Amino acid sequence: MAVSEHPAWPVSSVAGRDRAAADVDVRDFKAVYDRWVLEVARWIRAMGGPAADRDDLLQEVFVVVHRRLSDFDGENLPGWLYRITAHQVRDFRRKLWVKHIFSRSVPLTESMPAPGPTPIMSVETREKHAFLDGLLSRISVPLRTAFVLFEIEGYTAEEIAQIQGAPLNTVRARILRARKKLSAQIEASR
Amino acid sequence: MTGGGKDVERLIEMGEGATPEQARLRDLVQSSSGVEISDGAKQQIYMAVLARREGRHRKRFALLRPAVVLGVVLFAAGATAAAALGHRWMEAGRRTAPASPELAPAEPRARVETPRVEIAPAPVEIPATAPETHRPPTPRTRPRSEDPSAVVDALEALRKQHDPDRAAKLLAGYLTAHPKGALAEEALALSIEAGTARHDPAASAFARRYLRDYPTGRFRQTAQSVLERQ
Repeated sequence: MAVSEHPAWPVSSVAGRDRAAADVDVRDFKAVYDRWVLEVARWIRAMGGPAADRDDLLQEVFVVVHRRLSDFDGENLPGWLYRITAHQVRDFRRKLWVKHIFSRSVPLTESMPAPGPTPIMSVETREKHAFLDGLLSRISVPLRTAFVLFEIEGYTAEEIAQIQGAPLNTVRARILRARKKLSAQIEASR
Repeated sequence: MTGGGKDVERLIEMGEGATPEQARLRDLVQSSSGVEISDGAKQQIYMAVLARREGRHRKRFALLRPAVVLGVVLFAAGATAAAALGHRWMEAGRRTAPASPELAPAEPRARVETPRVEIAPAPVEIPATAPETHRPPTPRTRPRSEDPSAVVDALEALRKQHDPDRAAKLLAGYLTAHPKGALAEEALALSIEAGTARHDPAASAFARRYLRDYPTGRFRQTAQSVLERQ
């Protein structure tokens, strides 16, 4: 798969995200693509887009961006991109659900590829990823997205509020509620 | 509200205060990782997006094509029918024209017959298609639409199928047809890569061309390294 997970923790620094966003010419598709493709990939993962289909989803998102860029008013580029991504992921999951209903062969969640120095560690990591994915799949998309962006992708609550167009306190509440629900699931699984 | 007005602490920053469930969740989160995309994947997705946009344009015109053909056929049929009906109508007019003096011999001739005889044959003798046949052929002024799928195919041939010969052919075709195309920079960079894989001296020519056309381009280091190796 072309899109991979990097093993380092803590994850990418978010410093300078806003500054870089301001530098991008919103009329230049290539500049927008180069600057935001990685962020969009992160959002897709946070929203529960299947890892195996992430490249396809990226394509879908940027085809829409390419088509609508001339109509974009230039206000809050990350928020605009985030909304397009959310629509595409939602549509994709719907299609996947329909496929699943008819074929009963496409899994709705899947484990992420797991990098690791040894096969045993790789298996352990894979199991952890699968377990976490299972937990995340049982909470709502807004809670899941806020949790993954905050805890795994290293966004601040303010950044999440900006791209989601939600009040800061709502985002904070979502993170804490997601954490509470996930902890409850862990407790129940013991 | 649960969130309150203060900052939320990340799981990773939680110390001894974490519950066993939170500690387990922290372990799971730590084992996970952020998303990264390689430069090659970025480039591939970008070109696929451009190719999809081009495909949509073509599809739109493809949908219009039957409508245009139908319109032309209807127009031609209408013109033929109008010409045929007009011809018959005029023929009938011509046939009735000589009979009128016999039926009404007392009528003054000049008042009725003169305009009928002079006007009737005129539209029949004019061929409907005459101006078309004499029209000089118009030169084709619209430029051919760019086909970025050749570059996408070349990328696949080079990276997935490991077939630099095919990639080089596809890229040469694209660069010849669209030397200043939307993907000309990528096509040149891929040509350098294909040429290097084939041990083709043309790789350095492509590298020089790349540096000339895109002195600050994204692949200038690749081009420079190819030239330095020689």
